[in-house]
Amino acid sequence: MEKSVLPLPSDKDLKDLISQLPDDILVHMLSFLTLKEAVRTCVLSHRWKYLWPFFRGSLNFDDPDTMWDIADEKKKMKFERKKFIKRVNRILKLLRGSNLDEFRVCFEFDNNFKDLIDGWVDFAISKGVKRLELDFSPTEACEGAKSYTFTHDRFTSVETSVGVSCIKYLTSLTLLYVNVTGKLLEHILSNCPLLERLYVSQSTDLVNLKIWGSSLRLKYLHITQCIYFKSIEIYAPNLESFGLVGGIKETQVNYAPRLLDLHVGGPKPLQYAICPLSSYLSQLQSLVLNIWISRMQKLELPTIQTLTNLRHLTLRVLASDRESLIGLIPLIEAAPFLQKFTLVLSWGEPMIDRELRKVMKRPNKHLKEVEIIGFVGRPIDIDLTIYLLESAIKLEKIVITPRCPALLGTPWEFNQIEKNEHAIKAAKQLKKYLPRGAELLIL
Amino acid sequence: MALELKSSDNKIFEVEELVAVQSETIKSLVEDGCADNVIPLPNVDSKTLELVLDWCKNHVDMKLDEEKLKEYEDKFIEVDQAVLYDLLLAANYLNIKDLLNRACQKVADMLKGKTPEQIRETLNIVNDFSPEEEEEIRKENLWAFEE
Repeated sequence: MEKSVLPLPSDKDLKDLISQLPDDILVHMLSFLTLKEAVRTCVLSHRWKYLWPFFRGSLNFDDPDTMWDIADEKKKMKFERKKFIKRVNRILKLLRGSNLDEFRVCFEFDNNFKDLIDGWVDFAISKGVKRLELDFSPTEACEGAKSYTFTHDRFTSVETSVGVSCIKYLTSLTLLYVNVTGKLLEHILSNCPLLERLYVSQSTDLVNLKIWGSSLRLKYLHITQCIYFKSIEIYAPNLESFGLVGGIKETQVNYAPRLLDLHVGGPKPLQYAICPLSSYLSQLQSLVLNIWISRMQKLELPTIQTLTNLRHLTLRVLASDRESLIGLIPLIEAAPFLQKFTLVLSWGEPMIDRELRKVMKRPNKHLKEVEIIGFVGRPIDIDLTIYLLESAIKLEKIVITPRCPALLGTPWEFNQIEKNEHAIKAAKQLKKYLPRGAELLIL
Repeated sequence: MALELKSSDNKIFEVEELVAVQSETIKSLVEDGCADNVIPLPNVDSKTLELVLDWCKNHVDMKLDEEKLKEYEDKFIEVDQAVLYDLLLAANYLNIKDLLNRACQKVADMLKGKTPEQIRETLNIVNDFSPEEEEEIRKENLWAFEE
């Protein structure tokens, strides 16, 4: 195969070949660009002027910089929301393609705009959208969060243009702060044979959910923080990743033979989250547990069988200084072939000085990587870190991020200066515990 | 089972059916029972057809090795625009989805992060707008040209 490294100028090279491709190839190519990039091609030449309206790639209406400015009170929510909505409407009016890969809206919701959003969802579905994401997360979590409600008949009626026949192309549905009932989700599941991914967060209408179907293609199902969620029943032959975070009364996983990745936990003691899934624990390759430790609720670990296939264990811990994370060690020791351990620590209470606690170390020959996000450099996490460094004899690297997990990625990430400096200092001191050949990275 | 494909410049290629049916166009011919004789492909020259068949063969051979396949695809698509143009037309005509997508991605990558002026230079596009026309178009879609 000839490759021109330094092309000699030939007639063909100097010609504008790409523009001579037929419309549908150029439109297909545009779908690999962002909408903005695609629109910018309109100014290239007359040939390109009218191609972008047939864009069928990913419509991503997100404005993270504006949202941070609003949270910081640098911009006004009302004004920016109006601007945002105007922009989305203008673009949707211009689009003439008949397909869409992705439609994603990420902005704070307000009840006044419910009809508009209904229209946007209709638009996306009528274009046979494959990936639909509605993220109406509020900037101020403490304010009474308003959610958009997914109305039922829009999707259950065969007669409407966005009814059953159009949602069948859906492969992924992501809903945050969208009120959707279990019944509607079940309807979507039975009418979207290609659906592989379902993520629902903060739906107050979700109470019961039955995931049932021998031909269900669903691979990824995560439901988080739906405060009235009572029961879930699962029969999903292709499910690989399951997440259930937040309170729930009844979890029944009848059949999930391909389950590899699990994320559970919440305010209740760990056994409520883990016990219903105990028969699947030994097949998991990745496990994420949300654990709350407080004065009211001591750390109590249920007896866990051996996690024979577990390669990556992540513990997301909400704790205070009085506790020690050493109590989590039995979880780590339950996975004899664990290669990576991640701790995400959200630590809130005032500093208390206590002695470091020591623990019996058993040499761990498989753990290669440790990651600690939210390291504070106080007895609470130093105990556990020293244990890990001294027992993981084959450790290759330990990565420490000494900043609060909740602030990562926000404009205030580097705010808590004193706390972070103390953490960095303490992290540097850990060097003396490093096993031979291991590397310490402080991000 | 082997199939015979004839390029626009009358060169005959013998290929295994499994390789050839990566092309949905050829697949339908096979399924309709029209593939007994030589299949003429008047829209694809021999140089391009050879490349296309190499793609198809490797996609059958490396089907289970995702990493190896990606390495092959990245190397395969490092071609000049003239070849890319031929590959895109061939992939579209023969309906070979993954080749069409990879080639489109390659062109898209050539456009990413570039100003319209830079794109025109890369693709040898002649700007046939008057300055007033261009200004007008930019104004109409101002939001896309802002940062």
